[in-house]
Amino acid sequence: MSAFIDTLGSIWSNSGYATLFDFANGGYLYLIMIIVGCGLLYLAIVKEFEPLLLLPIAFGMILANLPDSGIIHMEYFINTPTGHPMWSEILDNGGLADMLYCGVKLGIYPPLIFLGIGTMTDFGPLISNPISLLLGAAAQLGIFATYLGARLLGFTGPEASGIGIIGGADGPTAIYVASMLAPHLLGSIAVAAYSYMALVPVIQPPIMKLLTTKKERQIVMTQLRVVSKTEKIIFPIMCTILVSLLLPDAAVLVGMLMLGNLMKESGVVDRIKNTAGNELMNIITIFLGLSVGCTTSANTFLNRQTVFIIVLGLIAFSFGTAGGVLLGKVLCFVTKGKVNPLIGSAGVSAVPMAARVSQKVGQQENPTNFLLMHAMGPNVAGVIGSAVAAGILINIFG
Amino acid sequence: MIGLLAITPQPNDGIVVITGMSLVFLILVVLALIIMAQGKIFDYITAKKEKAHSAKASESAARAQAVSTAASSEPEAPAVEAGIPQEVVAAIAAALACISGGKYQLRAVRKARRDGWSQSSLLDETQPF
Repeated sequence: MSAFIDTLGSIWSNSGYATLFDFANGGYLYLIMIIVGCGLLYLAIVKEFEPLLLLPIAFGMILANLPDSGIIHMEYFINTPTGHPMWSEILDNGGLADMLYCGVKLGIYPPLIFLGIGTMTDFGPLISNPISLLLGAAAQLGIFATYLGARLLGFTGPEASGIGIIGGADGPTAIYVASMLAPHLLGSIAVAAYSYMALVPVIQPPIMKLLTTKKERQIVMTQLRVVSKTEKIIFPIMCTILVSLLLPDAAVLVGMLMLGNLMKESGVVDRIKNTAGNELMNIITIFLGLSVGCTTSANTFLNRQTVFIIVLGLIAFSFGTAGGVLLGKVLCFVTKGKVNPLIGSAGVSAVPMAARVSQKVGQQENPTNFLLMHAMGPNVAGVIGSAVAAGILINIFG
Repeated sequence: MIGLLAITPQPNDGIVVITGMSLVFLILVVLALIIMAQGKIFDYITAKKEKAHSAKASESAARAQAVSTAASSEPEAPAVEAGIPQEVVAAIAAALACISGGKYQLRAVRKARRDGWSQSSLLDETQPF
């Protein structure tokens, strides 16, 4: 009998439950992380907050915080003696999550996600109204304003850059920059970025209404110019060459986005376009979400920095929206009322959610007004703008 | 400038923000200008094509007008020899109009007076059809 009890005791002491309920040695931290993971799963499943990425991130968070599961070895990637990932250790002792995380660490997944996004993006509204690019640029104010805020709160330059990029409202870009400049904050930054992207319809409308008059919100914009197929084919090639020559660090993000778009617009590679936009993107989304979720441990997530990141993320989105709307007001004034400032808020990326918000707020004031296609221009310009901003920050701090 | 920034260990925050925003604007403004120029070029090419197309269309319309005018200015009926049915006259007139594009007009229709050799030759040429 005593042998049986001893065996049971041994199994218990070796189980994760023993560590989890060992509150004296910080077992409660695992419990809190599991509860946070379940909370995020609730948001993803019930509230449908960016579920495609939030669901695997949240589940990865739970997996990584099951005591003694050893699913990921972040000590091989971060704060290593040489400052570089310990590749031989990863290959010798690493498991599934370690291997998947290599794709994040090496900056492989975000560009591949961009490839898929490119196959689904129509740059037609932007080409027909190039002024949209200015709105996309103005909305990047959120990135740099948040950078300043993060610096004031004591974050280092690279950390502040990783946090600021949340303002780009572009998940893959945020993950890319964070994995390059602040890998220890990756989990918090990714969770904040995707949570706020899902909250765009809640965050943006009050700011848009606050900064515009009723008369401005009622402006009906004129029909867009018809863009030829040739123009749509030239655009991704020209954009890649121009941006990459000026800012080589943005080449991989912009290049992949434009490659996907060229596949779509050329119309000659339907098979690989469909693969890039569907199967490949879905596979990468699973890998990216799961491995980012696995990076969140109690030590790196349950601290004051995460609270700051959550607050700064909100500031980033708010400033980005305000920047776009304010430049929209300037353009409205310059063009003598031909531009509805509401389309400026779509410059924060978050395609196509932010454009839909512009449409919705505009239609509240004038039910016959259709701003969606006009807002899609700044929206896709925001994707380019945030990739450019990411390239600048990596160039400065990388 | 970018290269210089890259080798600076901890650049001043103000410089990061100003440089960052300026570069984002600069790149996107350049892109916007290029797209605008490209748009103008394509609009010009399209307008030129449309102009050529409309010129061709108006030319053919003018020709058609001329044909109808010519037709209406010559209302005289052709002199038809007795014994030739009206259907035959209409078919000959239609064939002539079709081949000449309205340039020639049927003035008279009369039976051909051929000798035996001519008749035989005509049959040789037309019988296969």
